[in-house]
Amino acid sequence: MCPGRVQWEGSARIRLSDLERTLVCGDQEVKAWSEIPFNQARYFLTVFLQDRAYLRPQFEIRGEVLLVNPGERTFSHEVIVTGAPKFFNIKKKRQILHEALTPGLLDEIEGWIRGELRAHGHACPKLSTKADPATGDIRVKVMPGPTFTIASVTQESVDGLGPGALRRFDAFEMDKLFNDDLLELTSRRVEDSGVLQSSFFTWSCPEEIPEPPPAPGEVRLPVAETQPAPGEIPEVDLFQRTFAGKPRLFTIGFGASTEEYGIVRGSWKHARWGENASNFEVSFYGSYRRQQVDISSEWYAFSPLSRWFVQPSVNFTHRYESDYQYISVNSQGALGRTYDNQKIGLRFTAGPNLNFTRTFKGAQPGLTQFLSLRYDFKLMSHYWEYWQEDPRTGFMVSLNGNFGTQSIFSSISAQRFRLEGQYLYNLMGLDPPLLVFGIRGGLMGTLAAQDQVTRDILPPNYKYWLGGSQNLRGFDRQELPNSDGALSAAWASVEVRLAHLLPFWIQPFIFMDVGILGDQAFSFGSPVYFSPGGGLRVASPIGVFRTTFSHGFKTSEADNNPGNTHFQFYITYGEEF
Amino acid sequence: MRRTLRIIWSVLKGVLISALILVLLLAAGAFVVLKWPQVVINEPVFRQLAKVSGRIGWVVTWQGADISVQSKNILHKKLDFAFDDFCAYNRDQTYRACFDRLRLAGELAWLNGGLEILELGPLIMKAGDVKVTLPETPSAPQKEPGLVFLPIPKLLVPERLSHTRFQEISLDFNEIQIVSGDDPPISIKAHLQGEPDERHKIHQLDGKIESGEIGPLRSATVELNLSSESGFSENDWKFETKNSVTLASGARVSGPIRLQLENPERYRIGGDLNYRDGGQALQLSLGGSLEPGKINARLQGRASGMADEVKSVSLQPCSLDWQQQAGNHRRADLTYNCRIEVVPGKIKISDEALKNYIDIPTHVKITASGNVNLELIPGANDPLSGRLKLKIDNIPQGLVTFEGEADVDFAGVPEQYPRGWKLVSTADVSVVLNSFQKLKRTLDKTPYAIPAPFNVFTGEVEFQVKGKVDIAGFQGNLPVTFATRLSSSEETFNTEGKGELKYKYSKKADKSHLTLDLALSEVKLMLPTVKIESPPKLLPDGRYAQDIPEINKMQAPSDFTYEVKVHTTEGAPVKLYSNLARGPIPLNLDITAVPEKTTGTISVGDTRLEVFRRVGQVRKMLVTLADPTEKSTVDGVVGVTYSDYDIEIQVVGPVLRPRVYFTSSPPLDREQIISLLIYGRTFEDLNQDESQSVGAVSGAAADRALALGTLYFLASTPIESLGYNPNTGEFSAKVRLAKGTSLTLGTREGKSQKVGLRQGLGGNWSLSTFVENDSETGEQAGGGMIEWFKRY
Repeated sequence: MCPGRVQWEGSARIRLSDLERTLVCGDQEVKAWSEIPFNQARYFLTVFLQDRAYLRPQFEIRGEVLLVNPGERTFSHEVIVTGAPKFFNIKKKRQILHEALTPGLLDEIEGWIRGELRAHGHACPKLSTKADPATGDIRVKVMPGPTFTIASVTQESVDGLGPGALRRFDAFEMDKLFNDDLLELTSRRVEDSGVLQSSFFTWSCPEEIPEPPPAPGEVRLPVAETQPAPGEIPEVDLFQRTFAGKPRLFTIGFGASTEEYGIVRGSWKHARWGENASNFEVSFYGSYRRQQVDISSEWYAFSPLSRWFVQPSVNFTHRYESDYQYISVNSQGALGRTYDNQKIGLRFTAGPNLNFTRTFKGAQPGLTQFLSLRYDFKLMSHYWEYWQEDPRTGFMVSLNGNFGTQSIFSSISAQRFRLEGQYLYNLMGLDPPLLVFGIRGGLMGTLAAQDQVTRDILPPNYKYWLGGSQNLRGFDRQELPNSDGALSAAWASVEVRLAHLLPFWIQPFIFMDVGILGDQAFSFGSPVYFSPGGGLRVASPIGVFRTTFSHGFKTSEADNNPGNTHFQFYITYGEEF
Repeated sequence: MRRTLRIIWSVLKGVLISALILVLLLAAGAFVVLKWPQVVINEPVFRQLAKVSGRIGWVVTWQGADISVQSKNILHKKLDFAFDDFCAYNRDQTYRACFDRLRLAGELAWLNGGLEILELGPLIMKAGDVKVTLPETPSAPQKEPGLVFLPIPKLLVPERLSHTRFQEISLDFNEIQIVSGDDPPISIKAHLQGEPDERHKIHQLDGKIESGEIGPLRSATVELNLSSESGFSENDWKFETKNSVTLASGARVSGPIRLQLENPERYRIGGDLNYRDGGQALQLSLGGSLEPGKINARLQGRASGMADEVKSVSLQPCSLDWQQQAGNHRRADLTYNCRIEVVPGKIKISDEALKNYIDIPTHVKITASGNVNLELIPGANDPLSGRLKLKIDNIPQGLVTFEGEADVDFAGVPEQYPRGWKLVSTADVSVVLNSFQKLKRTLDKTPYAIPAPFNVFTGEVEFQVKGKVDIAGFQGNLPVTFATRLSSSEETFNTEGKGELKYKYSKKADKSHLTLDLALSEVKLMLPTVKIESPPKLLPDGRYAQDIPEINKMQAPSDFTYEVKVHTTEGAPVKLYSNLARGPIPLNLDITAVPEKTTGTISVGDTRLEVFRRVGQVRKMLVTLADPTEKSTVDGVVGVTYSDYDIEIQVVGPVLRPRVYFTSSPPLDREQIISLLIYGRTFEDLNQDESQSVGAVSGAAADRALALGTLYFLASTPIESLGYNPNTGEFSAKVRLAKGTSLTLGTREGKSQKVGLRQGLGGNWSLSTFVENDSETGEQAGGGMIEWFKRY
């Protein structure tokens, strides 16, 4: 460590940082620090070794040398939590036993406990932790404090943004139990929308440190009440910090996707338009399969606290797929609303949609037009949304479709719908999860006349295919039923994933996909397709890679396509289960 | 008339004849008695006398008597009375004396017109048994004991016995018992023996007194010797005792006491005292002289075993001169001069290394001298006044040199102490650490090693108590000074302190309090070279039940309190030198430390520091220390000047959680300022990571999560990105590594992230991943893009 002065004893060799070594060995460039007495070196080493879980170092001065035997690292043996509420179970926390007993581990345990308590209403918990270097036992004394309800939210002012404009992103309700996870989810929604570049919530807990005088114009919140009147639940006032940034964002870039290979993409967005933070965006997308221009807006035309909005949009698309090719112009004026309670979030839009599609391949070539009522409905549990990047729990249901009739400015009468859902379950409720069980499925159908004329001019986006990484992973992308597609489809997948056990972010999983198709809405025909298989999910820092290997099977040869059962390998980037 | 005369004559004649007959009878009787004294001096006569004596209250009995009267001539007799089993006691036997044998002999003669005792003795009392019961009297108020002159008697044989021949004197008491009230009786055994020489002179009397338990004494044996070369014909006696006393505690006291007449006006006294009680021992030797109005004495001795810290205390020697005051026979002046040597005991040094370096002084020499004016026979109520001068000889020690002296002028009444006492002293005591490096080497391998950067100093440290001292009884004030004159090639640590040490001793508790005003007259200190990296933890994590060695932290005793003010002087701030600063960092301190807390202010003067990759200027930085430390506050302004902007960072509030305000001229948004500070670019030019980092800093600043140290780390370190968790208050930073690479891989385990990541690539470029759902086809696609962005 320090030649001739401080030496490691035993086999351990611990790497110190430059500054650590300076403080232990001395600084030859500064005479005043050139000689560190043994006791000072011992002090610093004890602290530095503590950071590395060497909690029982032995020091011996032998002649002019300080011998340091760091001893064995201490590993956590047992975590004993006292004083916690009944719902709390430390055994749900994984990867804290038999781990190096570092301050980081203690931070992690405290952070997890604090997070659990804050997710259950205890806004101001206090913890006292003691770790025994000899036994590895960690004792955490929890003072959860009372459960709070949310009384109010004060939004930090942003130039041009009306008060209350951010409330539409709330994933929580007023006067309901405080839940820190929902506050974080709310912040993320705000950031994802682009209204603000950064946002988070703070609240005040009773503390002993005196407050400095408020700055001019500073909003000072009352301290959370911890001693309410008998029978009352204490309330907490939230303060939403905002970091707005400039509202206009221009981006242009190039890249690749799993389906379309090379991509060029650009956009211009005004994310904070008007007092209610409406947005307006123009974007283009170009790949050899798809060229698209979108002009859209979410116009919050009503009161700042209203969740209703008007969503006009115009879209120009050229799709060039192996089975079809078309150019589509789509314009829509929809009315939408969002809704959240403490458990779920809902988004709903509906409005007239005018679509012109010129088909070149995949249906009868020619121009079709549709004036339809388009609806879009999405229901998500908050924790499904919260864990979207690391799926583990919650559910999501989406439903969208169109109502169109030939009698009102449409080439044919056709109604389509798409119902999809996903449910994830964290087996044993561990954190991080060990086994994640997932079910997903979809039901799609197009109701249209059965005559051949209608079938011929029905554009590809009214038809359905199965196969691919999204549904039946034992089949090639959109391989089923054939190039003509189907007018109804249903599929379901069951997946069990071993999460957060293997190194390098590797999460193996096995699955079984089942699907069925039909040439009429709600009319399914043989065969039933299924594909068992397995794969790996790699949640790398630059995105999620998924690979699957599966074999497609079918219950009969009724589809007259003998070559569609085979092994199928997929590697995808960015997709989540 | 004749008849009357005849009658008178007849009466006179009768009287004359009667008188003549009586005279003749008396003469005849006297002749008979003188001629044959055994006629009246015999046992029957004595028994008759004893009977008479019994009637008047005193009973005298004996079993047998041998009464011998030799008549050398009619006026020269030799008497010898011997009684067996002789007893004499009063009626209620409060006084009783019995002897197995009592003999008294003598020779008397009528010579030269007077009765002379030609020979006296032998006087023999054998197996005496004496009991005295003292009457119970109400106890008189005890007179305050005071110092008195020892009354020296003139031990001379009376003139009438100057020619007397003395025979043996042998007084033997088996028991002399004195009973007083309900107190345990005092019982002693005594023997006194005197043998005449050939000239029948007794030159010495030897005696021995033995006692059992008397008061605090378990037993005592005193051998007496009273001698006179002239046989007590002249006042030339010597008195010597050999004493051996065992106290009730088991302690033994022994030693001779000598008293000798030097000349008719002067006596010499002397003696030795040996005291031993277990390991405690005292040897005291006294020599001196007494003469009217004057006492001279010399004391010499040694005490040991009193305490572990003090092996022995020796007086070597101590002279006391007591002189009656001229013109005032009631008062005297005492002049004293004592040399005292204290030998420290074995001081336990726990650390092996210290044992090799610390020299325990072998002895401490103190000189106490002065004079006292007091009553000739002083009492507690009598006023006294005088001067005491104490001087401690230079103690050259391995580490420090200690020397000191004190003059005390005092006046007062002992009984009233400290009320009304005048105690004015001048003290000059100094402890000098001559070689700081020696101290450093001494402590180097101990738990009290002097830490860097202080361990390179050379020079000295001095602690001095000097000046007028007001001592009032058991409490007093001592003026103290403290100074360091330490330096090295890079550093200086010169301080000067003045203060006062107050002390108070009482039965309940001793207390002392040091007030010190320490001026840092010139202090220059170096900081180690700090490289840009994540700073290590310097303080132990208190969550571990682990013993952490303290650096030079010593627990002050609870009976010692202090108030030390440490401050810089005007124009001479403490200067810290760091590789991060361009020039010294001037610190002005005004700190007050008491055992419970440290308060005061630390201000940083105009300093140019490398902050935010620019030369920043500390325009104001005032840290106000409070108790507890967490309540300490900061008020500072740091300026960073850009080509177009002048940015000021104002830090106000508690040190651990200050409010941080960012202002600029011309005015910019907070995000813009932070963006400029951290990344040197406008907020709009930041990628998502960077803009979130700015948000984190801004949020942490607004949320008072930026501690002072964190802010400095932020300012002095190239930051890649920052994270702030407002709920935990945790602030984290990803530091840019050398050569521009900084990709820190790692997911934020345990918490979700947004769908799609955006990783900064530098400038306005970023790598983003996305997941896309086609609402038309329901297809989900993921992809990655390299994007250039501009926010405005």
